[in-house]
Amino acid sequence: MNVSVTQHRLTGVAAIRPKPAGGRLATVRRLAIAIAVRAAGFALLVAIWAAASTQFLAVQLPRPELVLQALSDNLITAPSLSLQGLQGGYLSNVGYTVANTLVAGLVGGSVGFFVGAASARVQVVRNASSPVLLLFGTVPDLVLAPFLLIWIGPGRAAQFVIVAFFCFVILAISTQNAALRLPTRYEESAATLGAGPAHRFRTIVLPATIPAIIGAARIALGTAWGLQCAGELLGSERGVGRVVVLSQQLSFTAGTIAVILLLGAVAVAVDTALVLALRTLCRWSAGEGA
Amino acid sequence: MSAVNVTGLTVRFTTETGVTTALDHVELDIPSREFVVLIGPSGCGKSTLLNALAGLLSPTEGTITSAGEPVDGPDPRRGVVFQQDTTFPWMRVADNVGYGLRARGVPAAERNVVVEEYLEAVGLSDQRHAWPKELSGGMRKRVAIATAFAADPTLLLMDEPFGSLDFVTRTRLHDLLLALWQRTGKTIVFVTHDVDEALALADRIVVLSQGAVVDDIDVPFARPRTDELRRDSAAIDLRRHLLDRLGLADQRTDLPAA
Repeated sequence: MNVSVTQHRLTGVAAIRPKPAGGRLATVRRLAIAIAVRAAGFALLVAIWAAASTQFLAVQLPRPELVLQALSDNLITAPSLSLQGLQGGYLSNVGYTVANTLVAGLVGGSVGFFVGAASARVQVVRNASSPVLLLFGTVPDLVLAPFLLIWIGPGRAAQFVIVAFFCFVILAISTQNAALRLPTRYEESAATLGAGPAHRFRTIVLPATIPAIIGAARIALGTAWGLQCAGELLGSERGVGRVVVLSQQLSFTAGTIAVILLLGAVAVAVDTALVLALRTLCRWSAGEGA
Repeated sequence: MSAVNVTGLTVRFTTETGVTTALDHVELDIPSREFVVLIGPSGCGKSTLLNALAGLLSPTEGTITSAGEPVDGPDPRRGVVFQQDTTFPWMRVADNVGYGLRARGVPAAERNVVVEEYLEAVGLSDQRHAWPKELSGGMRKRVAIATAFAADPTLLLMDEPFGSLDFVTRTRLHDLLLALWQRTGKTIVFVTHDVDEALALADRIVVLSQGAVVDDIDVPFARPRTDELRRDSAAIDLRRHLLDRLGLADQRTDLPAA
């Protein structure tokens, strides 16, 4: 029998408590049901799309199979779009967008984490950073775009700044809130055990705020994909935004949907990786299974 | 040499309603290896005194020395078991117990020996890989005690550590604490508002009221102190005296039947 050693709450005496029967089997069954429900939801969406597409022209809403065909034809190279000056196919352009988003998100998010953690512990840093975080926590990040176009042009650097700055703000605010919520008794206890400030930061503040950090990273990335594409729409030689602009010029709606779906698949995969990271790194948390 | 010497200790807090004096010219000398219990009603300054001894709170006036050195901040030679749960939820039990040693750079092999020793001492060897969320409140308190002892402080400060526990668990932890104290010979300063807990544990009871020491009593009873102590006339007199000091003279002071 699958058992776990526990201790009686009142007596402190060790006891053997049976786990619910068929624990592992039940977990596999729950997982299978969850996957099946998601697949059914996706299939329903495709069915509605297929039904709706019969009422529209292909340029307005192409049928699903046309989108699949566009994806297959343009995955590695995009002959029709290359005539418009596009380098590579959908895959390399999605790769460009993904790489830019992840690098900018990582850089901006990392800086945001350190600023947020420092601002939670050092009043001067909090006073200095609060106006920026408050302003850009409420004002849409895209208002920066016109200024960036003037200052550094419409290239990769502008896209990087837009995404990185957005992720910086989200991570800084989330980390600051999480660090402020962390009871001071943990750091006081660590200090009385001989831990210096750097050790306390590494062993107390960092692990305690990881659930909030990963949650914020998911939120930030969810919007960052769109910001990166918006940056590319404003003027870029490569990327999903560029493919969308060129496809629109050719009235190639199936291609537009295909490249967006490809980016969406990558975004879902990255988000799933973050969820798995959360489950692995935060097994200690009451909300995650041990 | 005194484990702790407090001279003219005054602590004032500025609040929205004005200045509050939490401690008022407290004088206290605690010899090494003594088990001292600070007792007093809520708000009398017990926890403030303990935080000052730990170096977590700066005195407004006066001085505190520990083993002859001035107390000017937290130090691993002065361990603390807090009233609240301070086991780190993101560390497994063994990592919690070894935290102080790791923070001081003790090699893993040496650290593991000490961790195992104290896990066994507090009866949590089987839970070494458990997360704190999987433990009961009493077990987490045992982790906190093991963590404090494993860090090997010379002075252990305990702020109402068992206040939130049920009677049976608290009694078991008293026995555990006394066993560890007698084995390691550390000086312990223990804060409580429970007269019976004070009588069960203390070599000496210091009564605080309104931020000042109002009584300082040696507890003469032999150890181990069993339930027989409840029938001892000297113990009953001392209990009445303490209740009187706590402003409960009018309350019923008969001891419950053992």
